[in-house]
Amino acid sequence: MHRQQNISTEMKVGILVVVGIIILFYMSFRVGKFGVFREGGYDLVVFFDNASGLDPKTPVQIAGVEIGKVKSIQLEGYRAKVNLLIKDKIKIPLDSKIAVKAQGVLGDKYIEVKPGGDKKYFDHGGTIKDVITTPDFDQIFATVNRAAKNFGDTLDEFSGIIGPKEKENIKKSLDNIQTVSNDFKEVIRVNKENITLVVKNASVISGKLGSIVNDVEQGKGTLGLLVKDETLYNDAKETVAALKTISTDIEQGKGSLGKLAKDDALYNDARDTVKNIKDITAGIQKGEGSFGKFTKDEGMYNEAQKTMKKIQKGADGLTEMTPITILGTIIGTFF
Amino acid sequence: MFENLLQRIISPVENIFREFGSIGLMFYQSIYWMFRRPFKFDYILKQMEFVGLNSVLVVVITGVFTGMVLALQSYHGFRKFGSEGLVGMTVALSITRELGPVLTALMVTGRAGSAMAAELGTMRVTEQIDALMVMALNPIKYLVAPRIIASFIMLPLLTIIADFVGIVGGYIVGVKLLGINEGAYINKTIQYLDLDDIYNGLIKAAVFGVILSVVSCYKGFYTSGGAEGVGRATTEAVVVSSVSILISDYVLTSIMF
Repeated sequence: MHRQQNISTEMKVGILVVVGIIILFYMSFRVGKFGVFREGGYDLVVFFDNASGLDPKTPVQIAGVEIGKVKSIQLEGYRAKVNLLIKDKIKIPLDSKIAVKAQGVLGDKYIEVKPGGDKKYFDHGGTIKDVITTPDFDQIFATVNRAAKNFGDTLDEFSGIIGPKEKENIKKSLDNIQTVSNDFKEVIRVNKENITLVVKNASVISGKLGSIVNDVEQGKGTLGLLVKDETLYNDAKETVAALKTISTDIEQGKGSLGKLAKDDALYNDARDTVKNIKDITAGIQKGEGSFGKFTKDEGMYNEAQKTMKKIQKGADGLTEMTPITILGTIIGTFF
Repeated sequence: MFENLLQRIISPVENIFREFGSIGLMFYQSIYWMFRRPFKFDYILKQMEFVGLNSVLVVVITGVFTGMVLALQSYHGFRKFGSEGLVGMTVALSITRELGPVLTALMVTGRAGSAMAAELGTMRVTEQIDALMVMALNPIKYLVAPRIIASFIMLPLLTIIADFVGIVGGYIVGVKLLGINEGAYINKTIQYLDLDDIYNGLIKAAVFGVILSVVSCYKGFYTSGGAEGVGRATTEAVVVSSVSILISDYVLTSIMF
């Protein structure tokens, strides 16, 4: 009886102890990331100007995946020397970059490795030199503060520029704008019928223009024929071909024109002629002969200028014959 | 009259020192006798059953509901920042670091500590302890030491159970009732909960076990004044143990974390 009791007590206590230990082990395995079975790894060294927020066990990530942890942080010559423990199977290229980042605004700090494209990898004890410094919140706030101050100063200056006189002016300008716009309104109101008429005419004209263009498109009327008729094009083509044969004939010295172009004697004659002309012009330059007198005489010059003016006027008159030009433009747009 | 006043100021202070001295002395004697043959494993086992096994149910209920209420409370706080996923971490850290050990120790004090004081007190007033001494059996070795050992071993075990059921309770409320993202809940818990948090909690629990058993045994062992004295001893044992646990908790926390 007494012994029975004893065994029962032992069993009970034993069960409790085992259950407790099992739970302890379970939680240890779930929680211990590097845990009881400490994963191996290799060391890397990074120097940060500011390692605030980093602790031993701070995660090291590539693309958001944990690849290791911070092992220790020391001060070395006023810079933070951070030792990282990286998992063995992760290889980090030599030209990788490294930065301290935070998960969100309130989040914990972590170290982000941006792997490079190098085929060589870091060995145990290597130093990642390419450190990207991210501004911490103090710096950001300092910058924002400065910007806000500048903004405030600008506003102050602006309000300094606008004195009472300027304000009065601005007010006057605004009043003027109002009167002008009122006048404009009045003008529109009075001429409302005319304006609608103009708009209506414009619409009619554009409609007609449309139908003309349509006609041209379909080859109706003379202009249409001009644009659409193939025979005209073919004629032009034939003419060009004929011109071509003529020019080749000339090149080869065929026909009278060809001879003219190719004959040396003719060339020499032409040269002599040019020389003679040169002599004559030299004479004119000096005022020799009757033509020379003609060019050097002032009265003669004035007379010539007047004539030129008249010619100019005549040319202006020609330009005013715009419909022809418009026609030219329309044809131009179709080619 | 003046001397009388001085006496009235000094004597409570004197009593406090005397009490601390007696408790320390008793602790020292128990440790001394723990390692003297013959070892009474039966006694220890019996106390383990009494302190540990019989407290499991009350500890489980305490742990589950603590975890649940923590999840509920922190959920309403974290929801304002849109970071409900941190509820799991909060529950796990609070339970393993603080509430698991402390609440377990307080529950065991209420259940087992009071019983220790009452038992030893009754033995004292019925002169059973004197009888043991007459038989040349050291009462500290046979009565006090097994209780201290049992508490020292059982408190961490009860605490790990409380930790586990507390986290499970938080999970049930957080994920199943409040609909927090399950992945975030579990991952944040695992991410932020360190092994040190659990181990330090267990060390705390062991220390609390020693404190509550020593104080309760002391109060029972030096009971005087009959049945009324036993009642007073029981009350004092619970009060002094609880207060000591909370004070030492602060000290231990500041040392550990």
